[in-house]
Amino acid sequence: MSALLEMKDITIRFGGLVALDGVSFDVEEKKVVALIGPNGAGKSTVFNVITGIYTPTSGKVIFRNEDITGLKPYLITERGIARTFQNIRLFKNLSVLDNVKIGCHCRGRAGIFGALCRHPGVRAEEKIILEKSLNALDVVDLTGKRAELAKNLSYGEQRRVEIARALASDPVLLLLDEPAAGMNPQEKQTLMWMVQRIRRLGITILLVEHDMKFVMSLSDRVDVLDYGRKIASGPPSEVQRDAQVIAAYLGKEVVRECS
Amino acid sequence: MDAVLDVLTNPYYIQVMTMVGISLIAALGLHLITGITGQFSFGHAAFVSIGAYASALLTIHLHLPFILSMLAGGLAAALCGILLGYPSLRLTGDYLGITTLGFGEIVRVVFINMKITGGASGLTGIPRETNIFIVYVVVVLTIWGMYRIQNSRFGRALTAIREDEIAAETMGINTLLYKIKSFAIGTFFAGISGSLFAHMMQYLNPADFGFSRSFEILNFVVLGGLGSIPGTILGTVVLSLAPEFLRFVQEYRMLIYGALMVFMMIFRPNGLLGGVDVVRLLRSCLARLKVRRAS
Repeated sequence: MSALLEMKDITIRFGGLVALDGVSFDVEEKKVVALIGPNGAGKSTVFNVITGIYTPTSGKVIFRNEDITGLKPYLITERGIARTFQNIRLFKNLSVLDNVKIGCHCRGRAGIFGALCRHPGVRAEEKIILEKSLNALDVVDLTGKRAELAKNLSYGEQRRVEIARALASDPVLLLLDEPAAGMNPQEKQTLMWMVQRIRRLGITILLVEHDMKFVMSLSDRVDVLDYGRKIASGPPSEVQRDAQVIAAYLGKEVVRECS
Repeated sequence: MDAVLDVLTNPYYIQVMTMVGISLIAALGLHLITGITGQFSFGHAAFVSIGAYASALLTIHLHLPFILSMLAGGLAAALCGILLGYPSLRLTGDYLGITTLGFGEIVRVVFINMKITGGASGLTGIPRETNIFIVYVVVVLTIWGMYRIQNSRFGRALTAIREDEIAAETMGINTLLYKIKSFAIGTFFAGISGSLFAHMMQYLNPADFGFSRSFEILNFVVLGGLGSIPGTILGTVVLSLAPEFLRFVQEYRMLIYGALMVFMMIFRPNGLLGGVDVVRLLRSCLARLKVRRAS
């Protein structure tokens, strides 16, 4: 069986800068795959290519055996890929519940006409949206804060709302961009449980993260990027010992001195 | 009692209140575009004028019933809104503002130079069809429609675009399509407002729909409180009535009006009701009253 998501030889150039240089990797169904690498390695660019914010210069993104390269972001979400952002992008002046409800958008149908006359179909849909949103909030333990404005939540909670919002779109694949960034150890621990909970729901997870403890204890496989190239791939225990990976993180001189 | 009746039948007050109602309809349309969807439009008066001229010409030349020509005026404005929105809503922020500003001027100049619209001397002979009753029926319908739109899947998508366009797009919202729809609805109400205006004044002049009128409508929405229906209503009423109440100071009128706006921007930069959820506030007040009565 082929993988859920296949990145095939993705290259993307911004003017003279090659942000990704022939990157290929697969994400198998129901696995947690981590993407790591030093700052500027191109991890977030990978996410932006998958979700359609950038169109790659060459290469293909295959999702469930369909070519989704260059599709508009909203169409990609409709096909089952949801994401969170490295720098939180919540709808700050809306309530937590509304944020999550907007996540359900691509699974709904009601338009202007439905908004005006609120026929039974629309009311039934609203009920489903509410139910789904509360379920998603339940996964991240934020049901009690549903009426708060998103901007009034703590940093860690805001990150969790982002996850709930992504979950509300019924994703098959969830992309988490540095979910643990800026969290204290306790919050990180909670987040880890939540990621495991989401995994048990049968959702495949691709995550970018700098916190190695977080990555190593959660992932089934780790891919390492450096200067837009994939330099290693394998189970966490192997990648940790890879000479190239250590060199990328610590610099070649350090590695030479140590050996 | 007599005093109340006097006010209610005084033609000056009725005229002023009718004008407030007509402005309200246009302002509520802009409220959807700017307050809810977060797209700045500096050419709203142009859409009002399109609705005004379209409906006036239909009643003059085709003798259409008023209701039909009013709807046609709204649709004409919405059509222009879609035609302008399709290319320009791809732009964001300042660029959209500049495009709509330019469009507003183009429309004005076109109306000045067209024969059928009477050119610079204006269009006369429009039958008087508008009365305060019709205006406020439309106002109530508009408020009801806006309220329903805001509290729906469609409205949530629009607020998502206002809050963060990139996040909205990645949450599965076709942002361009939704912005165009919002623009179309907003300009439709501008057109309706224009139709009512034309059939009240019985005379149209392109000079009435210049940049300053667009800016005035934007003021209603922003100073009342962006994104709030009660705010928009309050802003429109206060700012429409202020020049009337200030008539006693005669030539200093507009000076005080300007100063009023400066002070409002200093003390309430988010508008009079900006960031105030009136419905929630009322509910909590009621709840508190109940508690007090029980104890």
